[in-house]
Amino acid sequence: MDFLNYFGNVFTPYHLMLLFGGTTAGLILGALPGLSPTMAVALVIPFTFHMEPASGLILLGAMYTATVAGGAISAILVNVPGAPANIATALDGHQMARKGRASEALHYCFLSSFVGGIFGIIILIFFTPPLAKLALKFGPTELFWIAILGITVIGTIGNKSVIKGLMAGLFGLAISTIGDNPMLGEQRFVYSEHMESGIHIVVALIGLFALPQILTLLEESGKSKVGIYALSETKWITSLKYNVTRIKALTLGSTIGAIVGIIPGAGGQIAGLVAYDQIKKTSHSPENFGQGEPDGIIAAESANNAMVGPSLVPLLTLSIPGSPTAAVLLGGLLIHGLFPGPDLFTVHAEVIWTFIDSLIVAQVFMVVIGLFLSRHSGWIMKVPPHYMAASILVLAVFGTYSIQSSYSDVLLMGVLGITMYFASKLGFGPAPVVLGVILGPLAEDNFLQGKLIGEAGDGIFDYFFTGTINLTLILATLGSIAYSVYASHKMNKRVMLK
Amino acid sequence: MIKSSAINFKNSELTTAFYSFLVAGLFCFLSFYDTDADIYLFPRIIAVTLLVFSVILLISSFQLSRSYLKNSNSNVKNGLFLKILPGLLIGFIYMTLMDVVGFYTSAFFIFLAFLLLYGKREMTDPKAFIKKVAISIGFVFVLYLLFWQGLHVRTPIGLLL
Repeated sequence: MDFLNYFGNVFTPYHLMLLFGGTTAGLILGALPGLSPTMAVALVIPFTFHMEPASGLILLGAMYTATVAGGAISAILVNVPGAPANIATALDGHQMARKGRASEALHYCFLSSFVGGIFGIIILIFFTPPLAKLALKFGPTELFWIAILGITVIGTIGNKSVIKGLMAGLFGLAISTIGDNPMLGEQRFVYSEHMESGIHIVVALIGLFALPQILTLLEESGKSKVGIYALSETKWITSLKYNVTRIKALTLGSTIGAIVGIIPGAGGQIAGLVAYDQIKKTSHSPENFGQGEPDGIIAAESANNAMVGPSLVPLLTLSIPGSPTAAVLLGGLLIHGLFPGPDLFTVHAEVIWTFIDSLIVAQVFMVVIGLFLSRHSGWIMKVPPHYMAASILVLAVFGTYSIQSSYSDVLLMGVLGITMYFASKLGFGPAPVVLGVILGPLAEDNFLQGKLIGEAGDGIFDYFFTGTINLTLILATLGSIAYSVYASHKMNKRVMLK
Repeated sequence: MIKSSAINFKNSELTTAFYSFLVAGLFCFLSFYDTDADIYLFPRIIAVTLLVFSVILLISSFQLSRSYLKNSNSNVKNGLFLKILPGLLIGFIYMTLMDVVGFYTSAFFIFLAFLLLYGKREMTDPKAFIKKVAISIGFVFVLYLLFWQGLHVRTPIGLLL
C-alpha cells in the first residue's frame, strides 16, 4: 500500500493549484476541436522544466486526464470530436444535443469519465510495481528490443499505412542520432552551430506536434462554423441518479478501457469504439444507439478515461507507451531524470507515488470542473481557429526557448515542425517520429553496449537473438507488424467490397 | 470524377514514395560517405533499413490496385500552400524579431498579425481593429504576468521587452 504513504504530498496548496489549473486548461484545450490531447501535453512540458519533478508530473497528469474528457464537449455540442478518443461519444452524444439534452449528455460524459478514470488508476496502482520488478531482469539487449518494440507498436497500430508508420519511427531514430555519439563522444550530422548539442526531446515534441497543428488550424480558418445546440437546464444530480443505475455500461466501458489501455499503442480511440460496439451488441434495444442513447456515451467515456491509468503501466515499467500521449509523457519523465523501471518505485518512490496519487485527485477535479463547464461550454466552441493558431505559436516559441534559453532550439523546432506538417500530408504521423526521438538514445546506448558484450562473449548474434525475454520481445515486435499488416489488408478489402 | 481522384491518389502515393526514397538515400549518403564506421554504426543501420522500407513503399505504390484507387481520396489539396504561406512568413518574422525587439513585443505584433490576416477582413471598421488590438495586448500581458513576473522565466528582451 505504498501509494497511501504519499497521498499527503498532493494536498499542498501549490499542488492543488496545479491540479486545478491543469484540469481546467486540459478540459478547455480538449474541448477545442482539432487540438489533440497529445499536443496539449507536449505544449505544457517545457513549463514543467522549472518545477520539481513531482509538481511537473502532477501538472502533466492533470492535463492528460482532462484533455481526454474535454474532447467529449465538442463531440456532443458540434459533432466534432475534440480528440480521436471521443469519436464514439459523438455518435449518441450529438444526437442527444440535437434533441435538447446537451447538458444531460455532458453530465453523463463527465460522471462516467470519473468512474472509468478511478478504475483505471486502481489498475495502475496494483499492476505497475510487480511489472517494474520484471524490468530488473533486463540487460542491454532486452532494453534495445524494448525500444524497438515501443517504436514498432506506436508506428504500426496507430497508422493507416504500416510501412509509413515504421518509416516515421525510423525518421525519429535518425533525428535522435544528431549530436554526440553516446559511447565515443564524437559529433555526428552536425552541419551548423545550431545542431551542436543535438535535438532536445522537448524541442522535437513541440515542433512535431504543435507547429503542424498551427498550420492545420490556418487551413481551417475562414470555414463556416457549425451550429451549437442550446444547453438545457438539467440538474446534474438528476443525471447522477440515472448514471449510477447504468452499471452494465459503466462496468463494460471501464473494463474494456483498462484492457485496451494496458496494450501498448492501442490508445483511447479504440477503447471508446470497442466499448460502444459491445454495449450496443449486448443491449436489449440496439436500435436506440445512434439516436441519442445515454448508454452509448456512458460506455464510451468510461472506457476512454479507464484507458488513461493502464496506458501508464507499460510506460512506467518498460518505457513502452500505451498511447501517443503517454509517449509524450515519457519525454516529461526523462527531462526530470526519471527513467522507467524498478528505480522509479525505489529511488524515486516519493515522486512517482505522488504523481499516481495526484491522478486520483485530478479525476475529482475533472468531474467537478467538467460539470460546471457543461453549463457554460458553448463559448469554447466559438473560439476561431486563427486565435488558437496564434496562441499556440506564441506558447510553442516561448516553451521551446525557455528550455535552454537557446535561439537555436527555436529554429530547430521551426524546421522540424514545417517538415512534419508536409510529412503528415503524405501520411506520416508525428507520434512514431516523437517516440523514435525519445527512445533513440535508449536503443543506441544499449545496442552499442550489447555489441561490446557480445563481441567479448559468444558473438553479437547469439547475444541479441537468444534468451527468453529477447525472443519474446522479438516475437512481439514481429507480431505487432504482422497484425497491423493483416488489419490493414482486411480494411482495404472491406473498402473494395463497398 | 472518380477516375481523376484515383489518379491523384496514385500520384500522391508515388510522390510520397519518391520523396521518402530521396530522404532515405540522402541519409544513407550522409551516414556512409566520409564517416567513421564505429561512430556512425547505429545511423548506418537506420539508414539502410529506411532505404529498404522506402523501396518497398515505392514498389507498393506502383502496384496499387485499380479498385482500391477508386475508393481512395487524395489528401493533398490544391492551393493549400497559398493559404498557409502568410502563417509561415509570420512565424519566420517572429523568430527573427524575437531577438531584436524582445519576446513580448514581438509576440504582440505576431498575435495581432494572425488575427488581422486570417480573421474577417474588417480593416475599415475601427471597432473591430481596436478589439483585436485589445485581445492581443491582453494575451501578451497575461503571458508576461504569469511567466516573467510569476514564474521568473527569462526570455529575450531585445530593444524593448
